Amino acid sequence: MKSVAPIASLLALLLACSATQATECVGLIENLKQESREQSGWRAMLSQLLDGQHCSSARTVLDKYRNRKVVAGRKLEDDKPLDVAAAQANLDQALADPAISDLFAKARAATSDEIALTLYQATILDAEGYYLARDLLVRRLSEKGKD
Amino acid sequence: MLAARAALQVVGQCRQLAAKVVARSVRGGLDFMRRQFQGGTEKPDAEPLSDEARLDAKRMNWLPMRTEVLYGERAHAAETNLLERDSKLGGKHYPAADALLAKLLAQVTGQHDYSFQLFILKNASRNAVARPGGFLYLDQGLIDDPIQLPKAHFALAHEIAHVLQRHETRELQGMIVDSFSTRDEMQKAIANVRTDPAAVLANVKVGKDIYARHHADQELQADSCAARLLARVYNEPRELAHALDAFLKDLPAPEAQSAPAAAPNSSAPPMDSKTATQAAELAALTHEIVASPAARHPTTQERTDNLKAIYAEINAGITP
Repeated sequence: MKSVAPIASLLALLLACSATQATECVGLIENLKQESREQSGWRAMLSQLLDGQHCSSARTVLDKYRNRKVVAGRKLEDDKPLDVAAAQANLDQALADPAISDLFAKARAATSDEIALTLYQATILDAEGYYLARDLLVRRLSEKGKD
Repeated sequence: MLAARAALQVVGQCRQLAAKVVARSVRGGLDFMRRQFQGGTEKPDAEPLSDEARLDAKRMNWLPMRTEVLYGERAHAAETNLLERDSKLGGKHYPAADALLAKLLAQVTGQHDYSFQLFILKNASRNAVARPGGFLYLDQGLIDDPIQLPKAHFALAHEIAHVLQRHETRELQGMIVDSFSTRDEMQKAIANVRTDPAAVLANVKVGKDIYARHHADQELQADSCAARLLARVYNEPRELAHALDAFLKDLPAPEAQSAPAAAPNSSAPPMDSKTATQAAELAALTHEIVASPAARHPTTQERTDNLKAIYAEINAGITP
């Protein structure tokens, strides 16, 4: 397993970014590029796939991938576990959208890196509002083990 | 689901929607804190804090609003699952969310210093969150489906109640108070842990149980306040019942209650019945402390019973 330090510093930088999407996106992309200079791997590929787009969604997905949660606050009720069947149905619905399936196909053609590809797909799903499908992909990736 | 006129006791009373968060109350609380804890932990040989003084400190309303807002802002800054207002989906869902907030806040009477801010979380689930300082969050799953509108009403009213009652802030106060300690207290705990571990664990569990029950009671209070707030919003009792039902139906099925069993230790020598009982009790105590969450929601049954009772009170025109 690779060191967690690079992704931890990446997340720290993400939190320090300003509220505007453009500035946050620059921070996210620049850090992924910085880390790609230090070590090859899924971070570099994800940066390429993102190409400056959907940075807010990418941040959401990365936090979920690293299981980072904000603890403070009072919830209405306890969180419920992911309904896998519903999530699969949500994913099927997303894949039925030609725009989404087209983006996925292009990404698959661009890389064979499973982590980068899955995180990119989860980012697209987040941006389009397919949250159950997003969580399903992130969970599957997490269960496979992180690098 | 909701039967009219249920003769049940409302556990989480909502005496007023907004807890007194006026400057005078906070100033009085600060004066109390200064008198009680002057010198603090810089005097390690000072007498231990009495339970009454510690409990009083936890109950008083002394955390300044500015500090509460800063605490909420810090927690909010760490939240990265926010639906952006200027996104495609944000433009679609925020108007409905904002309108719901305005509708509820229009019915909040009484003085309070909060500037509520509402955000949508990118979740398909139907939960909601409140953070100190007036930060409110609704899962998109509550907003993007018209069928969920009744539950959305209840959810947001519940979270508004948490803020107005300063629940999270009071817990923060409690944690701060608990951090006060003297050398005398620590020495006693270390000396007792080997000779009478059950007594030490019992103290930990009592403290944790009080905290857990307190937390659950605050949730019930937030439920009750939500019902009272919605009663002002809706014109028909049927609409209120519909909102409460929508929330209750989405809760998990009532849990089965079971006591943790003590783990058998086959390598230990056989014990007499008294020792075996004590060992089983100690094991159960340890299991409860370790396995049960301190900060938990009430059970589905507790919430159902409480809301039935508050609904009956509202329909009967009973006010606290």
